[in-house]
Amino acid sequence: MASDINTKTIDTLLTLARLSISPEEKEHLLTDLEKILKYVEQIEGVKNELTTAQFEGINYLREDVITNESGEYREKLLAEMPETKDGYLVVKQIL
Amino acid sequence: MNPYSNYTIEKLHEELKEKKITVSALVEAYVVVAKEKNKETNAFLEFFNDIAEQVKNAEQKFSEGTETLLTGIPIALKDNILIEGKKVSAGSKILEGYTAVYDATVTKLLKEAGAVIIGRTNMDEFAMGSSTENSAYGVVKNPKDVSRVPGGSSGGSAAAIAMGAVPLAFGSDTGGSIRQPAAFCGIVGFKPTFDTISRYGLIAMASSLDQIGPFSRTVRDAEIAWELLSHNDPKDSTSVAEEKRGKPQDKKMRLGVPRAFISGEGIESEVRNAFEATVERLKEKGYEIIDVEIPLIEYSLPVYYILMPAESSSNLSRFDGIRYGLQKNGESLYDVYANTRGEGFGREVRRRIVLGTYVLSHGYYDAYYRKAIDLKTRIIDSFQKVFQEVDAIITPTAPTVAFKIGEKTDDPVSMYLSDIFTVPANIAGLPSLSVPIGEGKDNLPIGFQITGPQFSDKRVFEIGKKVEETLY
Repeated sequence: MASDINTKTIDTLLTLARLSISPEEKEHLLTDLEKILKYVEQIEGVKNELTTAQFEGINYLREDVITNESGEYREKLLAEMPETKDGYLVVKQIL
Repeated sequence: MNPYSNYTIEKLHEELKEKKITVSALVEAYVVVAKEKNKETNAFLEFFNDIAEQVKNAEQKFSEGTETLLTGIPIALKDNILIEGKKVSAGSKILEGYTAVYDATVTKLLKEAGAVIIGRTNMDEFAMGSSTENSAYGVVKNPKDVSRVPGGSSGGSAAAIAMGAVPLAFGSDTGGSIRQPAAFCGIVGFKPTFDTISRYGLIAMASSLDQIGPFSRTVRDAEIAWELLSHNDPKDSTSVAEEKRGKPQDKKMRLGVPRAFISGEGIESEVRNAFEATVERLKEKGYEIIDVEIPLIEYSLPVYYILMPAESSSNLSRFDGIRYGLQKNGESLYDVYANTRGEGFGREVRRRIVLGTYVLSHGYYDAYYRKAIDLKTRIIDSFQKVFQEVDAIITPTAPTVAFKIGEKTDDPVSMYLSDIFTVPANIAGLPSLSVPIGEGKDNLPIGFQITGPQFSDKRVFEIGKKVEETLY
């Protein structure tokens, strides 16, 4: 499976992960990933035993309830933002 | 020299209670050593400027009679545990300048108990590493030998104990990041049963594996911290309910050694010898020790290197340069994301994000992620079966003693292998304790690891105390 990885895959993954890196580091990254994947691929020979229902049925989360007061952290969170305007976060135009 | 460096927390508490020493003098004695030794080890990223105020609060508790065992005790927190109003960076440039807006539940409980938080400790960036060489704020050095790593990722907290800077410190353990550095620095480190101590306010790495736990000089000191912190917390969405925390089973006085698993090539002979010597002494203390087989345990590390990057790549998507922390400009929104993340994250973090993105991508998900979850479930079953026969599993904590700085930085897989004995407890969510059992060549410490069934934390401490007794 690791043999599937090439510079094109790396470029796609970097785009998906929103990471901009130097061409030199891409080379390193490719070598590193090949090594790591070669190591983890020892699980390849093991057969799956869980049914799809068992696999999808694992949920450890408690009920989704709000544990904070509404607006409790508003000012503090706004203060951490690089750029705000009238209590809103400023982002680049996307359209 | 800190005159209290050999005192246990209970002994320090007694001295404080009987007014043989003031909180202020005690904290000062530790802080002086911490600042001095830090020049050499780089264990602390910051010493706080409100120590005097915290000392005053602790003194007040003593005068009101509301003190706890931890009142006035100086402690340190890993730089991924939030303290309201303090900087927090997770060892990363991407959080440069960020201030925590709330207290982690652990922080809140420690403050309420009157502990004095003297600073935040250095760590591998986002807890990704086994040597604390991946911090954006410099390598941490092992106080036992500064040419060597302290282990990681909680290397700063481990070094802080070993250099006598605090009697109690906290870290997080996703694949061994408390126990392995504890072993390398010759101290005690404990990872509790999964999600029995709240992770609210811990900067997440891999949420199904992350766990906060204590570092200390003695097993009892770690237990004191665990007693304070091990409670259900509604703010942590997976926190185990009190009623589900199972009752400890009857003691069998029998421990299991997964012989095949620990007999691989990578284990150093001095580590093996120290382990076997302790096994013999435990027999003299009345334990029966048998060899056990834990089917599939050898797959724990490859499973870990699928699940951990998968979860990390998702968890770290929140660091986008838009809402907080570092922001690098670019022409489009995409460029802002990619430039911020490319510059803000270090090499190991980028590597794991890309690996995680790969194993979760279409066409590979079934081969990697799904299979890893499948194996994880079966490894949990394997442990459960073995625990019908034994009270706990014992192994060395790490296959080697502390390695040289730079020795493994160019070979990620060899670095990952230093967690081979610690990772199974994270995969199966089990309590696991590392206790120092003396030193090997060049006086480098060796750790002994005790892993019990889910919710047997108390028993793991009991066995840990027996291991400590074998040293006297």
